Amino acid sequence: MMLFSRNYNFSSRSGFGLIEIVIVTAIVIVTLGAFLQAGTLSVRLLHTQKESLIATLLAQEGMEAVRAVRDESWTANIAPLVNGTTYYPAVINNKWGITTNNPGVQNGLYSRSITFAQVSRNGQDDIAPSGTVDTNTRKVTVTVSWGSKQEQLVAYITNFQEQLSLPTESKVISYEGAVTDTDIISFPSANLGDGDPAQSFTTTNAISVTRVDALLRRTTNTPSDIFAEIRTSPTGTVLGTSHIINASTIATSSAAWIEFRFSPEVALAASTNYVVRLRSTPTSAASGSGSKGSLDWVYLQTASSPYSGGVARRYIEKSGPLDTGQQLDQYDFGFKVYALQ
Amino acid sequence: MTSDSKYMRFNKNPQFKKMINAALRRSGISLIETVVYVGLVGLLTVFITNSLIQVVGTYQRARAEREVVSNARLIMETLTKHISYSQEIYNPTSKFATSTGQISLITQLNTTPEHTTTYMDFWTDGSRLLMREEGKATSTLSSADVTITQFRVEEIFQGLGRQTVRITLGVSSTVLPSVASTTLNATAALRGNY
Repeated sequence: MMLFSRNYNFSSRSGFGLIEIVIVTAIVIVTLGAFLQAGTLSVRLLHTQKESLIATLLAQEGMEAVRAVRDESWTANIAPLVNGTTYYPAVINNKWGITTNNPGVQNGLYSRSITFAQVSRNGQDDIAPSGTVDTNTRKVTVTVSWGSKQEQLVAYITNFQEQLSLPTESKVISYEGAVTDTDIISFPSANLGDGDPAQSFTTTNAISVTRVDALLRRTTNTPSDIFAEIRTSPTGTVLGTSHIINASTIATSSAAWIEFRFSPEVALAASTNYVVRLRSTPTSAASGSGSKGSLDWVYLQTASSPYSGGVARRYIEKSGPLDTGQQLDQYDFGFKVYALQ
Repeated sequence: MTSDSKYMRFNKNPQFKKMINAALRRSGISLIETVVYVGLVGLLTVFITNSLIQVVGTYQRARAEREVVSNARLIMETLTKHISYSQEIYNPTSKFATSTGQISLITQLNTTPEHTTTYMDFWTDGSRLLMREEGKATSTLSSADVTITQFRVEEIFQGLGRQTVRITLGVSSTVLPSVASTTLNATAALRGNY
């Protein structure tokens, strides 16, 4: 009987081994499958986390945009907004704006909108569901949605900035009669090194320039980013350099006053001729620099030159040689110079 | 084998004879069985190894994603916090509107004794995001597991002294740049401590 059982063991040993392998394999596969599923799940969760991080930052940006336009002017920017209407934050002419025109999806996926609601205050002057309507406070809701998900930020904004007495600026020198919207400046040049345009002006009193506006219109999709310089002459000493304007935000529909900010201010002497020269990054004055065009700087041409205090120029430092460009005696570009009050 | 007394004892048993024959037949099958067995084991080994590689790959991907997300969050939080606390941007050492930007802030945060303001720089060397506070050593905000592909700083002025800074940050995994990467936008206004 001993042999019988031993024999039985011997004959079926290989069969049992197969079953063993199958069982072990099954266990290993199940375990691996579980690990794989856990890994896939964690990747999916991290994706969701990444999306919500992007969405939260976009929502915060929307809130910052609302605060920025509030800081600029409550009366002009916040007061006219209708409660309950869907608005969109957008950078237009390199400034934040709250518009009803949908700028489309952000970062290729997220749609962002803003709504405002009226705020009531109770007898203790606290925000309450009902009571006296406070026209100097608004409830802001920024919504960022993508797919079936959404991220929402709610905050209250108040008109406290207009109670503060902050430094102000005012327009001191300008030429605003420019109406001809044609590309005579080839700026920024399409990689050709066509140089820069400029407009000269004459000061009356000594001023601290905070900002220069130029009447510009974008004519191509993504021109190079631009900035302005105040110089003693077209190629003279640079007295001040403005912040860089994202030229893609400049309007294409009609010419707009683009603000070039000088921080710190540029001190100019009385009764002196200065030049506002537009520059681009990469530079438009070198061919092959990668600069892209182009913009229209709106101008006016008259036989006697429309603005007596200065003259328009184009092609400054065209393709290398240091020259003051072509003087357009009969032309003047639209510009405004603002100074600290 | 024949010398085994037990075997000899059972040799004449017809039932046992039948069994031996069966065993002999079985031993023939076991060769094919062995072939099948080896083949099966080989197949399973390949399958398991493949799954194992897949599992490792997934975990590596998860790790890359985690690094990207946590780095992006940390960098954006640090940047927006310091920008909104700062008073002013120091233009001479700032680089705007370029993918390898730099921003220098004049801030009231963590000032040294007898000074009301301090300088602070954030910049990228093309792969890392670096930070330096005045009088301190350079520190790296991004970890070695991620590469900073873009650090673009844009200034937006809303009026006199009303300035916001828009940051575009590109972060991708150093090991798996094609799998785990992201581009984020954030805006912070310079509020000077309010």
